[in-house]
Amino acid sequence: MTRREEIEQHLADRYDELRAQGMSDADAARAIESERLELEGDRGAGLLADASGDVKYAWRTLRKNIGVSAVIVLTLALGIGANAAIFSVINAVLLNPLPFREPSQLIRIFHTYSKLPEGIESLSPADFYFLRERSRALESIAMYIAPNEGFAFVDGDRAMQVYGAWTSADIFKVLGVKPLLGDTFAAGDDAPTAPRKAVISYAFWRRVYDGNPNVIGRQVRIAGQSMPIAGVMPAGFWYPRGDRADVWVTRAVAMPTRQGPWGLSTLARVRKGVTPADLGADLDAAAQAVQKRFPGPGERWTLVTRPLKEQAVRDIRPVLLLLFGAVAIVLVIACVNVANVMLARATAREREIAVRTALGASRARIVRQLLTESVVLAAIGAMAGLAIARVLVKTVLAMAPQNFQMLRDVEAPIDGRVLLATVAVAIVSAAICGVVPALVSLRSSLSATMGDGRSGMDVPRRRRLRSALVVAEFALSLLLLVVAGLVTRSLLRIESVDAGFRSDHLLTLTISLPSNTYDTPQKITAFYNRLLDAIRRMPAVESAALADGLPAGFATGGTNFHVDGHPMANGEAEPIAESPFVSGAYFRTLGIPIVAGRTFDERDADPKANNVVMINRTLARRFFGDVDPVGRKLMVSGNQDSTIVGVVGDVKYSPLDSADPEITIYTPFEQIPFRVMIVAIRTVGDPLDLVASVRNEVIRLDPEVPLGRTRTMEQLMSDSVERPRFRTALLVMFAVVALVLAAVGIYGVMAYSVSQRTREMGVRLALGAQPVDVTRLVVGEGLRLAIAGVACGVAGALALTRVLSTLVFAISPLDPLTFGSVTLLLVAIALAACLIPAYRATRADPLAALRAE
Amino acid sequence: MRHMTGMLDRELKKGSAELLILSLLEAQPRHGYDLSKLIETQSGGAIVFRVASLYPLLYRLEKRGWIVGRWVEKAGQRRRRFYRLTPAGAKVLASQRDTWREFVDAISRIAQVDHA
Repeated sequence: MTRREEIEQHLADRYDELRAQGMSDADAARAIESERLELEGDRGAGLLADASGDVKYAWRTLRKNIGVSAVIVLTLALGIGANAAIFSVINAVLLNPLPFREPSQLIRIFHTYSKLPEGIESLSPADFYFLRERSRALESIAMYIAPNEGFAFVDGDRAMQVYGAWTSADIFKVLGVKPLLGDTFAAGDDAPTAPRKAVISYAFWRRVYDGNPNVIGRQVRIAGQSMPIAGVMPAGFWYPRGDRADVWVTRAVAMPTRQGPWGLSTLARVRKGVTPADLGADLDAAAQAVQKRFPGPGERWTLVTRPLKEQAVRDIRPVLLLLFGAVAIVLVIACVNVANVMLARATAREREIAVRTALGASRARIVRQLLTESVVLAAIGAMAGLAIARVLVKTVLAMAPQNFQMLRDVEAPIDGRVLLATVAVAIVSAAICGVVPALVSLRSSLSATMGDGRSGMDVPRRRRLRSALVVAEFALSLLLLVVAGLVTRSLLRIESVDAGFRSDHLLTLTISLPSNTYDTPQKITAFYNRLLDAIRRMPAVESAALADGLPAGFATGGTNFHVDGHPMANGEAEPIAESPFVSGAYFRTLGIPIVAGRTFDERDADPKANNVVMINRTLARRFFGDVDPVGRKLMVSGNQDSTIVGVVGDVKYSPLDSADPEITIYTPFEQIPFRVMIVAIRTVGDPLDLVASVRNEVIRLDPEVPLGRTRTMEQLMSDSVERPRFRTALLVMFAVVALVLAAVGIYGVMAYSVSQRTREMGVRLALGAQPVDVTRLVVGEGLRLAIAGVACGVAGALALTRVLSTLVFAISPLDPLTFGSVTLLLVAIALAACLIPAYRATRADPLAALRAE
Repeated sequence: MRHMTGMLDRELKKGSAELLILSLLEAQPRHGYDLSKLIETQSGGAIVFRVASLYPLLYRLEKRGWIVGRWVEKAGQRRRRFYRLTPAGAKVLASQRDTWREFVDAISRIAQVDHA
């Protein structure tokens, strides 16, 4: 206490004297306050023991430089916020366990054999049947099929298209999820003779039944079959498809009569304590039993497993990791910027530090003070960052494509782990931002003299460090901009892929006929023909056609074939072609040119007539060469001989960003009429104007037929590039943030450098240098840094070519246009950022400079 | 070498500040404000001690037993703490003066600044 009294006395004396010298009350008080401030910072010297002294002092120092502090906090908030946001999504999707009982025991089971292009494929009913009967390693197993086109769902006079899965009885048991209301399926519910049952999702229950609990036991018709609603699942249960979880319907599991067909998804729970080796042997035994029971030609295949989690996050994982890399770069750039500002500030505070060091404050003491400042900054930055993260998470999830089921369905709260990670990131950032400047300023602070009123000289070492930081910043920005540029260019390439047809003025709608009323091919064909006739009579319709799939990633499947007279050599796999089933007007409606022969007509409509197909140009060229394929035969699906009646232009049925070209075999839809078909309508005006009248027409023909998704072809095309667009939008966003930070960074360094060299500039001007020379000096220095950074960045990108090549479509990972424009952009930004300080340098007053000397 | 000069520099400054205080207390006891005023005026404003520099130094010297402080009250004034030199401090002052003189002489001989 006496020490404080003594110092207060001193300060009072000082105040009195300053007043006596004629200083205003306010100025004198300010002078006193500034001395007192220095004092409070020096807790280590034992003056004013105060536990929160460092923080208080740091807070005051930061408030004194409110502008700089705000820039620092904002910069850190951007970096930390972007990281917290992406990390909370990663946490929710990749790190958190799936919301099932003991999810680590859950696996998916697949087929594999050496010639399989995708590596693994789904199982057949025979595989499932034998696994369920024989496996000892599996506690439970279930299969499901989630049809893309969904089901017709009829309750009383309400008909609608719903989505979900056919499943065997045990699916909920495997997942270990209990219903919210009623029951799920019991063992034996999938016996061939058992009546079917349905379970509905929470969202569907709320949407369709307003959450009415009396829904249990209610009779509905799904895909034409009558069944009761047995139960309602709890909110958040989504398996297997988050975006399409309306209903689960039991499907009969019968003793198989052949090995195929494939296409069953299989999910199983491994018994506790079973080793991978045991499991492998167990699956091998089942596979051998199937092959013994249904011996067939071809290579021996085996069963393989994948963790359910791995399969569920397979698509989203690389995208999230890419984004994580991007935000990490943003954070590093942010830290580099802040370190630079702190370094400049440390220089300005050299005298303060020098005095304290001279008075015996230890190195550790001063480092601690500087560190406290950056920790306070990082803490405020982290809080602001979390606020940014909340908004960003919402944005990211809202932007997520429909078919990223894991993302659409997930909530990414800022939970304990995200908070912890954010705190860790903030601490690391604070260390990066604080330690380097602290150490550097300590090393040189002692050279500043105590009585010297001028601030210390800009030590070359420190200037080199600052320059190195700017170079690093530009290198990282370049890397991020290159990635953003490459994915943007790829997206443009994907969007401009010529899919081989005209997507404008096309309306598409899915119709699925209930199986109880449409139980013969004739009835199905009749319905669709009546519907097509009615639609064609509408005034705004140019033409209308049927297809079971659509181009640009909405195809339904492929078929194997060989050219008649050229069977496959032993062991060689047959080629697989896209195989749409279409009506004759399909090609005219979609604007696909007929290159040779004819399209399907009434002659082909009779299922008893000879089988005919049409093929695309690539198939014709590849398998017939110069020979006219019209009139020749293909053996489709193994042994079904079909005459080729026409050749059409190539159309892309796989997703737009997949490799081309592909081979296609078209079959008239009347030959195997499916209940679920897509009606494509070429309109004169806006396709969406037609939706209401088409809907009315369907209801007029049969009120029990639900109208499925109604989309224009352009909407579908846009949906099909949702994933690349999502990735691109986020990467571009983060790259722009990085660019802004890099611009601020180089501006800061150049502005500071100029302010330190005012005297030099003044002297140069006084000695006859022209403003343009000074400008050139400043801009030249800035540009040298920028170009060095860009060069390092390009070198880094070259080293990462292999990674980059996974991101591009139809351009080189070293696309010169991208690299060129990104380089130009960065140099231009650097130029702009240097011009303001350069202009300021030309205004240095020569007289003032000389007087100072 | 950079490190060496840094060390020397630091010792030098620390030493000179101590020398100044001890010298000023040799003739008579003085309080802190008085000391800071004297240093500033006698050095022609070249050396300025602010509270954050001055008092830690005084307390350190006191702790070493070179000076001792004592509260003094005078009628009509607030009380002040006066510092005076101890016998130990007087010895230190004498030896520091010698060291300083030798040092300045040495520097002057090498740098040939004595005629300036």
